[in-house]
Amino acid sequence: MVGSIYALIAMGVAMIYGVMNVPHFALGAKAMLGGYVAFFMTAFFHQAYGLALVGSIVVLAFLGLGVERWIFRPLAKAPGINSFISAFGLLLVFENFALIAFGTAYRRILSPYDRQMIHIFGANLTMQRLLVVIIAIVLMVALHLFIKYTALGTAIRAVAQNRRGALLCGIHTERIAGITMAIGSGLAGVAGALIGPLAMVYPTMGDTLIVKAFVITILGGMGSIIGAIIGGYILGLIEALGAMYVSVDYKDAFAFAVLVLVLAVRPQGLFGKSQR
Amino acid sequence: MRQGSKTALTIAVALLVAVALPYVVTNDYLFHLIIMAVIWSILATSLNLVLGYTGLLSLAHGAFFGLGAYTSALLVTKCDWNFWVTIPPSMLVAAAGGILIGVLTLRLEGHYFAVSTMSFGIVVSLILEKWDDLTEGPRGISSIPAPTPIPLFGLGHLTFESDTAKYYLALAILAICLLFVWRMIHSPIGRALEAIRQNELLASCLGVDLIYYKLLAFSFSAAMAGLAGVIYSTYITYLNPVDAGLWNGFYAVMYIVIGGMGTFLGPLVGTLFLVTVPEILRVFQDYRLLLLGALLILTITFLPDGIVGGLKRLRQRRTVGAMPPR
Repeated sequence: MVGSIYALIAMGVAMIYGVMNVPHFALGAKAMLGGYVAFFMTAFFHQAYGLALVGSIVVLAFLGLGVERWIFRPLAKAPGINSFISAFGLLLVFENFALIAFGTAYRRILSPYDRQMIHIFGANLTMQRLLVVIIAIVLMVALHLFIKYTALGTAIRAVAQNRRGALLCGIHTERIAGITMAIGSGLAGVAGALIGPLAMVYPTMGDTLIVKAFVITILGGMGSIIGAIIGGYILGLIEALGAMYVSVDYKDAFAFAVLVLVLAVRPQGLFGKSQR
Repeated sequence: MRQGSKTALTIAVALLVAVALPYVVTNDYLFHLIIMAVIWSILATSLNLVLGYTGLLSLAHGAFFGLGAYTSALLVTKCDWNFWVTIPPSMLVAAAGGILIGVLTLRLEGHYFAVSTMSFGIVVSLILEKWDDLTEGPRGISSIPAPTPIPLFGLGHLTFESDTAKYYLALAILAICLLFVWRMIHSPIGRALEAIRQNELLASCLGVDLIYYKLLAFSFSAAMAGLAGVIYSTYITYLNPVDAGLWNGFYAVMYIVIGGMGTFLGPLVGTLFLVTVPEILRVFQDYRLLLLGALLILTITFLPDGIVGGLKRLRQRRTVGAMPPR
């Protein structure tokens, strides 16, 4: 379940990194904003949770477009470090904006699915948890089909493979970058809206999410979407099993231990392209 | 020659101002801020060696800082070591951390390195928090004593109890670190690092051993960050795992970027600016971090070499009378 959330954000990170070569550190903060959008929409529209999910995707996608146009596009020719630092600045802006605008209170999104219990294979879980997994998988499959089979998806892959080559083929690379950013931000937004009813929504909730998402993208290989998905579930499992069998105290450390081990053996990540 | 004497004059004036500061600043709180700015300057200077001169974004410097601080504080409080004797082991522990993470990740491309160092930082603060028996966990280590007095052979003792004395101590350490960095970047090592920053592939083709030089810069820088931590622990007299967390490292990055990446004085200017100005503009207290974030984005977009780099270009333009090639 947690793995699905991680995988959604990690997919966004992987896509944006693949196409724009930008490590988008503020994506966790965008998940947080998505959570708030969903929170306010459920509050206004009487628990219309489905509408809130769509709403958070749309709002965050537009935010992503704006961020690409005004923050990252001017930095396209500068060294890679600069966009990383810029993304970090963006994280500060988003988090403190949320802190000022929404306060420090922990908010809970009301979802009608949170109180329904279901039984599958002897396990009890709430409808909301199942919904998280299902929506995440649907989104992953849809995204995969979109990238693999549509003209726009092909263009995105082309830019990811070779920016100059794509430009020569008449692909508007900047527009593609904007679209990728919108998709990635939308994914982060829906991830925030999905985790809202289970965990709480608060201004710094994105920090752990984005750190984990980055660990996953590195684990799976930067820019590899399949790697991001599998890495997300691996990390979710490791955390759950580690907390159960080794130590709850060090739950958050397992992820990083695994990361260091993987990097030591396979520096380009599990599914990454070799650098040389 | 004229240029040389001018630089010497500037340094002399800066030193004079720094030494006279405790007698000019009477406000205790402002003086505290100045001491903090000096300590953060040591950290920022150490990070500048990697970020500014070698082009590696390290987010583990908060952890190195914490490792140094904790090593010294534990040795002083639990083993009753002499403060001055704890400095070398503290720097060694921080450097060992740097070598460990460096060996694993320095061969990776830039972003992998940044994220791996960040993970290392998280693990360090997590361990400091959970290893309760040794580090007192989230309660932290309190009442860390001032540095041990130095006997002056018949002239009494040089004590470090007062804030003014600690200020001079921090200032001396900062001066030593600055001198060290200055010597390093003007040596063949510095030229190798600069080559790596500009073009790794070209540098390695010219026979620069990439891993060796990166590791060299990284471990020296980690040791220096540890030293900053030692001074911090003895000034603040209290440590908890948050001090080793990511934020100190992030702030150091911010100081450097705004002051000027890869400029010698950038870390100092950036730290002084960012530590004192927001406190003076109390009106914006709530919006402080929001504004800082925006400032960071604006600086990196329009002024990639920060305040110092911007001033340098401005001066060049005035003397040459035309836009410098860039």
